[in-house]
Formats: sequence, structure tokens, C-alpha cells
Amino acid sequence: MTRAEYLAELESNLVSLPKEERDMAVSFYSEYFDEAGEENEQAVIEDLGKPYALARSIIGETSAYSRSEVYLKYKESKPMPQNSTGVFASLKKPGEDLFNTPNDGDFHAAGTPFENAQEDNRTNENNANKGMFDDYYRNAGQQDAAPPPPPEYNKKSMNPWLIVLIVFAGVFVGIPVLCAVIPAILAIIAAAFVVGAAAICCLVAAIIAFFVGVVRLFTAVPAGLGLIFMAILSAGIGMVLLSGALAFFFKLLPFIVKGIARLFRKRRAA
Amino acid sequence: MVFPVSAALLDALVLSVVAKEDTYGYKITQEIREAMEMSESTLYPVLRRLLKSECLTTYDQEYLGRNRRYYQITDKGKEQLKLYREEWLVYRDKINNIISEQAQSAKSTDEEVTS
Repeated sequence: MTRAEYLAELESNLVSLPKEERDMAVSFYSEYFDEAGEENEQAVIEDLGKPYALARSIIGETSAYSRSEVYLKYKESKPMPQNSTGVFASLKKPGEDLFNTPNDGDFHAAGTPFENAQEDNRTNENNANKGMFDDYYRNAGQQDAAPPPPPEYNKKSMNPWLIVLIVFAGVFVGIPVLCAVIPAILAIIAAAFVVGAAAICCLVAAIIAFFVGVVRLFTAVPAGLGLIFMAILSAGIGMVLLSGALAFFFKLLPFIVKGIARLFRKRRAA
Repeated sequence: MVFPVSAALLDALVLSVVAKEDTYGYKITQEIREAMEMSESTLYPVLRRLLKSECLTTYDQEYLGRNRRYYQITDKGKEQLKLYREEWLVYRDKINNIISEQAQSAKSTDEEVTS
């Protein structure tokens, strides 16, 4: 692979980056080749590793949260405890010992002590590096798998002017409507009371007329019969009116109240 | 080198090299390689990180008819380097107290005296 091929392959593996970042990375390595000189071209290519792996290390670092920033923030938020081993250890994940720092792709060629012990064996070293790159792919893959959530657009948010307009419309329409509806409802209730009262009057009158009629039956038979007839008629009318009033208070009124309540609930939900 | 290098140590190394004088990518790699084994792919992410956190800035200069990008330390970078240097001394001493031969012999003589 020539330098040009290497850089082209690197660039094609960096398509997920913004153009500016991609150009910067490619020009960095292009400059690196220039500085190393033509005679070292193959050595540089070998050291940089596969273009794909190099691209992953670049993408990983550019998309990941900067570690130094994390550290600065940590430092600001709480002072380093006195017994800590300090910044160089503080970035370690807990549970990892001194010789086993997280393999984060920063130091591809260093390897672990055991890998370095076999350094004379070129194949082993390459395998070790490959393993590290694989680890790195996995890390980078996790980053890819969890992209930052897209900015959430609040569906309920509306133009504030529109909200003001709706409130005004509600006030201007609502007040007259209420002015009409509330007296109407009160009138219906009053009417029901009147009907109820009339029903009770009829029933009371019927009872009185019945007793008077029964008494009159002994003195004047036609008048007594007439009164009893009137009493029965009055009782009938009274019962009809009473059942109407009761139906209104116990069936129709709860229905209307529920309907109004539902109307308001719907409006609030909308 | 047997001891792996953390991201913070790499930041500290690169900041130290650039703090001495403005320099370019290849030279930074070579300088750090004098102290430790480092892949040529290691430096770029470190530089990106330091540029992003505004510890470094760049400027371009022509050299032999081509472009060479120089890295320069910023005030924020100097501050960060100061912090790293302090932390490094603490870290170095603590590790040394445990690991070095002198520390080992000093400790054992201490124990002999007390016992």
C-alpha cells in the first residue's frame, strides 16, 4: 500500500465525521508522511496500522467526551482527596490495578507487560495489537450505538401569541355563554321546584278533598261523590307531577351536571 | 516500556513538549518516543483532545514548499500543565515510596529499629 492509497482509505473510513474534522485528520497524517520522508513511508504505514483501525481511533476520540475536560470538571466539583494517587491514577476505572489501565486506544503499541515480553516475536505483537484494536472497535461501536438523543421538540409548546389569543377568545365567548346557560339551568331547576311544589299541593288537596268528600257523602251524596272524584283526579295529577319532578332531580339533573363536567374536562384536555 | 500510559499522562507529556517551544506533530511524536514506546497513531487523538479543550492552538507555516502545522500552548493549556506537573510530583513520590529499592530498605531498617 502506498501513502496515497493509505490516506485515501483513511479518508473513506472517516465519512461519519464532519468534513472539517476529516480534512484535518487526513492533512495531519499527510504532513506526518511528509516529515517522516519517503524512505520511511512503509515503516509509518506499518506503525499506523490498518486505515480502518486508525480511523476508529480518530472517530472515537473526536466524538468521545474529552478526558481532560472531564478531569477539569472533576477537579472543580470536588477537591482531590489527600490519599488519592492523583490525576494519573484518578482516571482509572475502579477495580483495575496499576498495570492494567483501561485499554483506550491511546497507546496501541505499548501493550501489557506480558505482550512486551514477547516483543521479539513479531506475530505475537501484531496479534496483541489486533486484540486491542478489536477492544477499541467495541468501545467505538458502543459510542455509535448510543448517539446523543435528538433534541426534543415539545409538541405542546405553541406560539405564545396564539395562546393569548385563545385565552381571550375563551373569555369573550365564554362569559356570554355562561351568562345565558347559568340562568337557563337555574330556571329549569326553579321550574322543577315549582312542579314539585304543585305536585305536593295536588296530593295534599287530594287527601283533604277525599276526607271532606267522604264526610259530605253522609249529608249530600252528589257533592261528596264530586269531591271524591276531584280528589282522585288531583291525586293522579299530583303523582304525575311528582314523578316528573323526582325524575328531574334524581335523573336529569345529575346527567346535566355530569355532562357539563365532562365538557369542562374535555376542554382542559384539549 | 512495561508500564502503560494513561490519557492524562499523554496530555501532560504533549503539553510539556509544546510548552518548551511551538512545534509540529512529527516532532512531538519523535520527542515523546525518546522517553517511551508510542505508536504514531497515538498522538493525533491527543492533539485533537487538547485542541478541543482549548489547551492548544495551531498555526500553519510553509516549509520546503508544503504546509507544516505548528502547535502552540494556550493560557488554559499552561494552567492545565501546571496542574499536571503538581499532580505528577505527588504521584511520582507516592509510587516511588512504595516501589523503589531505597524506600524498601528504609522501611525495613525502620522496622528493625522499632522491633
